[in-house]
Amino acid sequence: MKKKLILIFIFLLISILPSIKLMAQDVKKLVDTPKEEEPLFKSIEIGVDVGGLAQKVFGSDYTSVSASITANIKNRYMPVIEIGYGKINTINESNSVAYDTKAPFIKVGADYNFFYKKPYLPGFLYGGIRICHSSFSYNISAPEMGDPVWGNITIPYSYKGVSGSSTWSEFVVGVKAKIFKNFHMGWSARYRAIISNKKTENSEPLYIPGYGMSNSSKFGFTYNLIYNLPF
Amino acid sequence: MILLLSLVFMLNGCNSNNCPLTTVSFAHFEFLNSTDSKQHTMGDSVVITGFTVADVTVNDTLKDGTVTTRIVKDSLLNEILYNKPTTSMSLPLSYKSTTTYVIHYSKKMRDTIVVEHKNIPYIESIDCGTMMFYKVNNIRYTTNALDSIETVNPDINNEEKINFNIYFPTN
Repeated sequence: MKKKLILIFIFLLISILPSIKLMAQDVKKLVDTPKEEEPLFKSIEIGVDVGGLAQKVFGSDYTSVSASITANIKNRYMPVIEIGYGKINTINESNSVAYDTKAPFIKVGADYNFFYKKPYLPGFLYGGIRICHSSFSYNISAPEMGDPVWGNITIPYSYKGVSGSSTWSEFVVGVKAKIFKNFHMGWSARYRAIISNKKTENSEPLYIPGYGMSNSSKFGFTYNLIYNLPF
Repeated sequence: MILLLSLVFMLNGCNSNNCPLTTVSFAHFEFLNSTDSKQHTMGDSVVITGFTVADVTVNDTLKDGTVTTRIVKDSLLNEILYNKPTTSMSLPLSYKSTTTYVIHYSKKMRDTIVVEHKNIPYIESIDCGTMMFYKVNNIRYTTNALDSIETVNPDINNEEKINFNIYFPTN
């Protein structure tokens, strides 16, 4: 696990270097230009989060990919919609619990550009919030349960097509940086908090598409490739 | 930003495994005086036994030497479920729909408690595996020494909370 994290970290470190170089050059060119009024709609951004795919490459049981569309209003407020698809098919090796699901998810929210007064910069730091939702069905099974006290009694554990539904919020901090003309890339770190998670009598969703494992870390990250459609 | 990403990875790497310490659910009984609902203390010779009825596979050897297999209903006895309870006791339930407990006060005095319950297999986390919870549908009992039984909480799970109050005469 540690090796995988180090590999991901090195990959991100290498990928950030060209944008830092570009940023330094652009700042040099633009820092002395006169201040202009930002247009109401500055641009529309179309992005793809490939962080979830990277997790699959590094051996994770789950895959997640999403696309986003962001409106840049006065280079300050950025309402965003993210639509994606997540899936998992996993078996826990220690207790043979098997779980699989696949479903789309949606995240709606807005970001705030902390560097809105410095439009000459080719990148910026932002913070934001998302309200997220996914409705899905899942299959869950485990070995037969044997009565630990009386013995001689077993009960099967297998449930197919269980209906699940989850709503959660995400608090986002990230950066976006220009890499070439209208192409940008960005990273975001996210803190997730579940608002509602539909349980049944026999289980609760162990993996939520767009969220990840429901009982694991509440922190996540995205790695976005972005194309800026100028107005 | 690099520090931020490092933090995210570190936090993701520290997935906590919050599995419960016990996966066996117990029915918790508290002993109370029927007159004033104060705590009732049992004598030190009390023993609880239990049984349930389950399908048991029996192999019969016929006269011609062939072996046949059949399934019969049989009682599965648990000789001592709890020894010398004083003011309360926690008893396991079976994976069948009825569990019977016998409270042996002495060689000649005993009460029988029959708990009818629904079994609820449950998985809380993929790391923790299966657990069995129960919902009490009905409780029947004899009143040789005890007065009555009150169901306080019909949901029996791995939490430490009282499910039944057993009331005894003060004397």
